[in-house]
Amino acid sequence: MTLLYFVELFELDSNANQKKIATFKLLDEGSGAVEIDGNRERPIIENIQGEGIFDYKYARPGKLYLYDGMNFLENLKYHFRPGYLLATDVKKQVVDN
Amino acid sequence: MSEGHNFEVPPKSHEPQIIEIVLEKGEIESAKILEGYFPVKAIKIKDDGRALFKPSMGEFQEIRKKLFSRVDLELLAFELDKILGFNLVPPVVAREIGGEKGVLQQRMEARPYETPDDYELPDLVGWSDMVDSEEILKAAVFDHIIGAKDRHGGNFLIDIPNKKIWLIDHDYLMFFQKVGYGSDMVRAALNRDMVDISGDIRTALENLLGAIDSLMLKFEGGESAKILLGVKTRTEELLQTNKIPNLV
Repeated sequence: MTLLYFVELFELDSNANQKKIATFKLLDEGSGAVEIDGNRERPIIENIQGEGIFDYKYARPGKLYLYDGMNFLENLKYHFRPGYLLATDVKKQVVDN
Repeated sequence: MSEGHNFEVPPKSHEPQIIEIVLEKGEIESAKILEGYFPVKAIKIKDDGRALFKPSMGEFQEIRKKLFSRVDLELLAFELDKILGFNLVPPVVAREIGGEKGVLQQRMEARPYETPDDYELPDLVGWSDMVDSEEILKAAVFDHIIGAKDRHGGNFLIDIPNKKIWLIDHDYLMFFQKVGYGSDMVRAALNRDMVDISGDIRTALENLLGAIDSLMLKFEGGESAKILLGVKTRTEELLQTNKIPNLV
């Protein structure tokens, strides 16, 4: 049994409807890098791949990148919080091997 | 009025404007909870517009045990922007909706710095190429004096037809992280070597300095007082040096 951890990122359109623009996925906590489902070339997605995100949760120096796995995933909800872009908390589901 | 054109650009006055009165007293027609970790609601106000509601308390308890008031921080940022006359922060008011206290902010016809499909833009055009240079300089000055610690592509908006920037999300994380992201606005101004303060911006800073004591009375105590002390110091420094310092 394998656990899939994921965070969904939604964008708000002018009619106040949300559209999912990316899913950040991690197979098994503590190992591997986060993968992205969605258009990786969108500026907002491209930017966090290159620039990383701040460690809001523990305020550790430096930035977090996809290869930081769960730490990166856990901080997405703080990075995308204003409503125009909104990330979910980390969700998990069981996937078949 | 049709949705999307319900608000005019805020005038540069310190008095409450029609937009703020609508946000404060307008009848709430609908409130839709958005999907996401933070409990943001998309609000429709009868006849007059649309807004986003963000509850005040408890959002960052996971990373900060003590509660804080988001209302004061968002209102303070709006007030500073009004005094400066920069027109960068969307109108926002304190309001209680559905038994929850929070802030209600005008939802702008603008987006995070994505390139909307409607616009054909050449490759390698970044967000800073889509807005007026003056907007970048004003936003950089604003972020520098408030000590913005978290201004990235997720919390500013670009209105491409009007070449305009909107700064949003002036919450605890924007002001009080020990180690921060800094500001994309300041970085953009530095990259373009737009660091000199003169003319209208200098006058705006002088106006702010003249108003800061009354702001300290209005937002007395706690986090707002700490922010205002920093604003005062950095504004005085800017007026002395006439340059945004490179702290990046």
